[in-house]
Amino acid sequence: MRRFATLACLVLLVGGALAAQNGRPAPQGLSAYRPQHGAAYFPFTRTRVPEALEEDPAFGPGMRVNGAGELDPAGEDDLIELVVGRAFQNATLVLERSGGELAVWRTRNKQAGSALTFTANRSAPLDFAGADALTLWVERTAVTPMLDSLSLRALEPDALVDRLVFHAFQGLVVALGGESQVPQVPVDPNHGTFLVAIELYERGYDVLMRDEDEVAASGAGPVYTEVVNAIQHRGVGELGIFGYSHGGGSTYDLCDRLNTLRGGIGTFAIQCSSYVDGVQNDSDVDVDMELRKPPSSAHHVNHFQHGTFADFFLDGGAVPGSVPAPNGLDVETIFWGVGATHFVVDDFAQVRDYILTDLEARVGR
Amino acid sequence: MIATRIAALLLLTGIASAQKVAPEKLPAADATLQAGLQRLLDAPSAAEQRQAFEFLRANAGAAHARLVPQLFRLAQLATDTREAMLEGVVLAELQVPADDVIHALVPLFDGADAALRAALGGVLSEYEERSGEHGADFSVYRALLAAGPSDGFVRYLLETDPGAGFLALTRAVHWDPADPRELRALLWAEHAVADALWKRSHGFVSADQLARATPEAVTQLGVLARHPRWWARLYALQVAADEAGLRSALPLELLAHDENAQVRELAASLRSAR
Repeated sequence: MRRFATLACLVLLVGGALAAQNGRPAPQGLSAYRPQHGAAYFPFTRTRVPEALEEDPAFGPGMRVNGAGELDPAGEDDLIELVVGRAFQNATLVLERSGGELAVWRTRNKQAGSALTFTANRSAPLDFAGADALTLWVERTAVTPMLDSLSLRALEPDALVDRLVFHAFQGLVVALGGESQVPQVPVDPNHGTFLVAIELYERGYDVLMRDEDEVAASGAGPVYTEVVNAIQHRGVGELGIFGYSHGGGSTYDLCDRLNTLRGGIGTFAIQCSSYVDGVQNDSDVDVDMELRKPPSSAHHVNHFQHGTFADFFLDGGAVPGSVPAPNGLDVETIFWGVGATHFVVDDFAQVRDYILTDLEARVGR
Repeated sequence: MIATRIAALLLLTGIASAQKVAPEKLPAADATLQAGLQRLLDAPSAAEQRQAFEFLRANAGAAHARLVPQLFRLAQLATDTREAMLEGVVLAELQVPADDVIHALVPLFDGADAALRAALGGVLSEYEERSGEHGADFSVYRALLAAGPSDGFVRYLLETDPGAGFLALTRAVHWDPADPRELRALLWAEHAVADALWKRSHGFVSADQLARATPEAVTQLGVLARHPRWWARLYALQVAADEAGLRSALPLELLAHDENAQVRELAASLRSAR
């Protein structure tokens, strides 16, 4: 019950602000968006940080550190979209930044000549060119993670119009679906793993939401490459990794590779991991239960059910050392999970909430 | 899933995944077996499920040669987890031997594009013992390799695990027992490259220092890039594709005009990525 009470508080605190956030027009002032992925936002949708959370150091806008030597596997996608509303029709508006580690551009791909010039951390007057809003792109160039702020100020009379507080991502979440579950927009409501991933994204995390086929049985592949890049060049040190069915097997494979090659990667900790009915993923045709706890995971959440003919006897199972202690939760022992099959166990709200709550308590943003 | 398959009704604006195999590249549908698989998916009771399994067993063909490609087809066209997992369920239930799966699928590498190679590898990795620590084990293909593999299969082995693939191909050659010079040269080259990659992956050498810190690997890659065996040249390219720090060791212009199409294609892609 305590878990649900905690979640209810979180929902009251944040949920209202998150609701319908994309349906409203940008307010007069500053609006920041959640991080991009590749050329735009896919597999997420363009998500505005709610007005009420713009200065929240955890739930507010997050920004990847753009460190030297970064591979940027998905292309230049570390800039945060910022919409500046023309607060007062005839006012002169400027941006003020907390320090030189924030760079602001007029183009998302940092075209030559499109950087805003700051003098003593104040920009020149913003040129709206007659429009009501101006889109800018913010980048964090310093490697050390810290909080940064960006303010919109009106001159004559002097007034602070709006302010954003950016957290530099120190955590990274990886969400891996089951076989044939592919991240898509809009999300399939029956892809429980991806629903958790989207909620974490909306709550201020940097999230890799991926097809589990992007993790090979050796743990190698695009997901591994991106995680290592984040650790080595973006100041990321805390990981949360979870998956359903074969995505659970891939969670093991990814953690195993990260742990095996730790000496060459850098400093990081797998703070939280999770399986939902984990099935080993040595291949697309592997049907063995994933019963091994992910190597070096500090906290492993496990949910499983028992297979029947209805799900071809596919199931996960008890994973020693996981929570709920000692081996995880057999959902069929709880009233809401009775009769669960492999193909629905990832969709229970109780399962999703458990993963989200445990991960949020352990993985920094 | 809990609700009906709403996703099928939604207008999808985009999908991100590993590449999908074009349907025309898949084995042609066998109506009898596809109907049998559908019957298995739809079975409303354990008894009818059992009958559906028996139907598939009876119609699997010699060494399951008829069934395995149909399972692969079904999995590639799957629209949900239930369909996608069926391939593994049937292979396990009918206890289909690894050799049957391998002999049914490996011919599909002939002329396969990257998406089909990846999809076939998604099945075959079950038998390859891929490990983050020790790499892949391709010994299950020993007989196939000794008989002369297709170019597409060789490319698959090398892109899956260049070192393990190279050694598997080396062992498959019928060497002259009286003259081990070429064999030893190939083994030494692989050893030098593997040593460099090990140092790199465990943090003893950084990416930008790799070529300078491992000159023997650079030398050996250069030798392999000009080796008369095409798969040795392809191996050198694949290593460079995976590890950009070693790319300068290769004569990409020369290899882009190689007599072998696989070598030409990979060299051209590396050249354009420079």
